[in-house]
Amino acid sequence: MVALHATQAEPAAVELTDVVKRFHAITAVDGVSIRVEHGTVVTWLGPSGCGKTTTLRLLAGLEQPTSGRVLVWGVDPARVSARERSTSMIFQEYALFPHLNVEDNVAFGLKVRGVGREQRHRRARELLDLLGLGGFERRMPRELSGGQRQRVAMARSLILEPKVLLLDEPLGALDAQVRRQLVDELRSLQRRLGLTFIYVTHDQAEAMALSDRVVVMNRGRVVQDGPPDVVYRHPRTSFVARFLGDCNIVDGVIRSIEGATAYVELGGFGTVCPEANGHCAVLGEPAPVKVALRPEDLRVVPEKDGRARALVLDHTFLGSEIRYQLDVSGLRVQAMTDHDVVHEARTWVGLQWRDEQLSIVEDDLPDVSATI
Amino acid sequence: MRRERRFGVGTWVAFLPLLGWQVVFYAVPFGVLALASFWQLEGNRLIPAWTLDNYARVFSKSFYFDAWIESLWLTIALVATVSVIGYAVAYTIVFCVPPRWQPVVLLAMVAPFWTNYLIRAYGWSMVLGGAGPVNSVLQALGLISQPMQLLYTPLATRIGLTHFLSVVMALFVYARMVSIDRRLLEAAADLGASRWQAFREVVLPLTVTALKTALAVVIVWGFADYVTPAVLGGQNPRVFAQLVVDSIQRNANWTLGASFAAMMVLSILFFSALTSRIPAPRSQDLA
Repeated sequence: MVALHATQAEPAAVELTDVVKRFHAITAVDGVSIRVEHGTVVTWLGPSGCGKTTTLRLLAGLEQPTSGRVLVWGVDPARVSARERSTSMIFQEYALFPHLNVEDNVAFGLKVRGVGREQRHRRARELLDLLGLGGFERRMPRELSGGQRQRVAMARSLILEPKVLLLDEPLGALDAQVRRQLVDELRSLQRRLGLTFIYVTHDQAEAMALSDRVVVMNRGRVVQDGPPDVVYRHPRTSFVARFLGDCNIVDGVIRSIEGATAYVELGGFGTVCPEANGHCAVLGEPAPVKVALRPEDLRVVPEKDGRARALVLDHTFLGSEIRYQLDVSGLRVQAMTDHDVVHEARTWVGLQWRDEQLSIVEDDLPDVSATI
Repeated sequence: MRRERRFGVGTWVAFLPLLGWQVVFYAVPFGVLALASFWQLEGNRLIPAWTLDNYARVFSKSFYFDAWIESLWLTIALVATVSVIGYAVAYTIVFCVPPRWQPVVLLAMVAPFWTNYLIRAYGWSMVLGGAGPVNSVLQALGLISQPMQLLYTPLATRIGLTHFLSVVMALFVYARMVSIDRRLLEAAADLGASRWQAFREVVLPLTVTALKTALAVVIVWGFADYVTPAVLGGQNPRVFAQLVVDSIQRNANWTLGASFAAMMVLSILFFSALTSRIPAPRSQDLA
């Protein structure tokens, strides 16, 4: 009965409502509303200066919103002391205390709470064992690799048993290989402990590998919010399309709209029927639009088998696949395709694709040209 | 990955200029001084005849011992006041002054030191004198009816030296403290540390080496300074450095002066050794 009530009354792990944060003349966060359920991994993804770190700091209570409401586990983090918060933050480059050894770093949170020496060190050792750092207790932070430091930072946060872990580009300082390994570790740790992760990064691969949900931010606003595969497959704007991997963005004209389906005249590609992303309602006919097309969705085939004709300008061998620079009726387009046959420069090839892999995108990148 | 540092021939060659400097300007003069303290004086000439008379005199007269005690108290008082004031000034500048104003505040703090050390001491003598601003203000407030005797007291010496050495302390500590990554403090706060705990557990350990370095200067200066005690403290009671000057300049007693000086150097070494016992993190861990 009690348990039932508890689950019913369980608040969202994180709830932001119309949050605005200004620093003097700069609006870092501009009307953000996000709700995160407990036990999920949500990534705030965006370029530097997009407001993602500020949003995280608002959740940590390190900043107060100019307006709007921030709730973590039903409590405004800026109104309670750090000890009453349900969050713990993993800082960029970890902010390990350089004068304390690994064990003292991990035990810090318990020490300032007055937990006895023996007890806090026992707990610290348990966490270090959990994170595979047994035997490193006496090491100083400078004696550790980047990946080990990251784990010490995790242990230092987890010792306080937070419900929501806030991670600010925790893998930013590491090389690609360690990063991939740690992403897997973080994911399995999160599942094991059942925590909520709010994860800030500018690395789209990291975001997609780790998250249940990706919140793409740009210029202080949320541009798109959804599961990583949906955000990747169906970017709503040209910014999202470009930020999550390579993308061809091609100008077209809407010829007709039938319900939620739009028929688009797309230069040398002919008439296509892309995923409309809900944009149909606001678009008329004929209207200029932009269509996003992932390079890996364009298959290079013999000329006679293609839906469109393309001239090979150049190709780059990437191992598992080949990247082609193509000319489609004067448009420069990129295609990634496997390397059964290599098409040399200045030969004609055909292009194949599935229309549902195309997306109509809102143009929020006024400063870039229509092609890669 | 980490390579142990090895002292090869190159390292020693690099040390040679430093070694030469130390020998020529420190070891040799101090050796001569130490020798002279065991020699005798005949008229105005040093005679290399061994004697312990000089030291016997130093330890026989309570007059000399009192001066040593006075210097000791002065040094202890300075260590206390300068640590608190200088450190607090540095802390305030780093954590309460916006970064772009910090150079201005530092400049304002250091500006009085562009004048000569002696002139600054005289400046304090005017401030603390019978007709100086301190007495005037106290009288105007009705707190005292007659001017207080501030000048030519041990208190005046302490004020003058505290001013000077607090700035030295503040500069040493500032240089270290300003380089502390603010995220360390945010991390401490996020982990539940109060401001005081963040100071005690993070800021203080990270700056204690700078504090110790500055304390070494405070001890050397406090025990050995002649100018400030002479200008502000007067003659009664005298500090140990005044004895050295008196015996050499006034009495031309080189050997006695040398034994005073040797005593002073040993005292400073002893007290400086005490500060090295303050625990501090290894510097390479902070790099």
